[in-house]
Amino acid sequence: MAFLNPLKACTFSEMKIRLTLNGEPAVGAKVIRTIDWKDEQVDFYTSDEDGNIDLPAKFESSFTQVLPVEFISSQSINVEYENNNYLIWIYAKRNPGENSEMNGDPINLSCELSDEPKTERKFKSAVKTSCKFI
Amino acid sequence: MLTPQYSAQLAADIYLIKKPNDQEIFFDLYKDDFDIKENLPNKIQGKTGAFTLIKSTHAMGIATCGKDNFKGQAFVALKGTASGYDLLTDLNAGIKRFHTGGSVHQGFYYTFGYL
Repeated sequence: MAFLNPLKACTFSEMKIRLTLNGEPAVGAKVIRTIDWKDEQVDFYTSDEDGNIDLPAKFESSFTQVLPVEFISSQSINVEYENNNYLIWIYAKRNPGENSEMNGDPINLSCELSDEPKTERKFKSAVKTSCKFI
Repeated sequence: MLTPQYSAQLAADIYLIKKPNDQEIFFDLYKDDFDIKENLPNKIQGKTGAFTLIKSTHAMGIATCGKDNFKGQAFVALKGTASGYDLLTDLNAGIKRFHTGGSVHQGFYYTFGYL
């Protein structure tokens, strides 16, 4: 809980993703998550037999959380599948709260890899994604 | 026409200029209003921090001309404090004489000296 550790920030809220390519589940796709707040951190995941993947929340701490410093966590998600690379998510998280985007719930996405990413204002910031919010 | 709402939104969005991925979002949001290109070659680089070794060089803002609805207008947008390095610049709060004759914040003087 953030109030127990005022230096703690959620740099990535939990996300549940369903990956498809041309309507079929993207099984065994490699998902590369990059988070850049204090410094860049990269981790890797693999989708299951239904194309589903859960990305856990990520937390970091910094003294800047208790000082007048603007919070910006830069996020991107790339998917490698069948020898192609797809950039499905770019987002600048502007609120250090966990699940602040969906009022306390995880972000649920359905991502068709053949769709083109589009930019829209969302969550009091902006997101570029080829995914649909469900 | 530049409205107060538009200016306030730009002041919030200019923080997207710092990281390369977020710059892509900034470009998408403002490409119809500003004379900008992908990868934002006209972004302003600056250096914040303190002393010689505790420094960070990064994109600080953008200077560009408007187009279409904003034709004939110029935009200079600079981000504020977004890291410990920027905070050190804020804390360098001495007074420095600027070459035009005025007095300026010493930390900003050095940061703008790098722009």
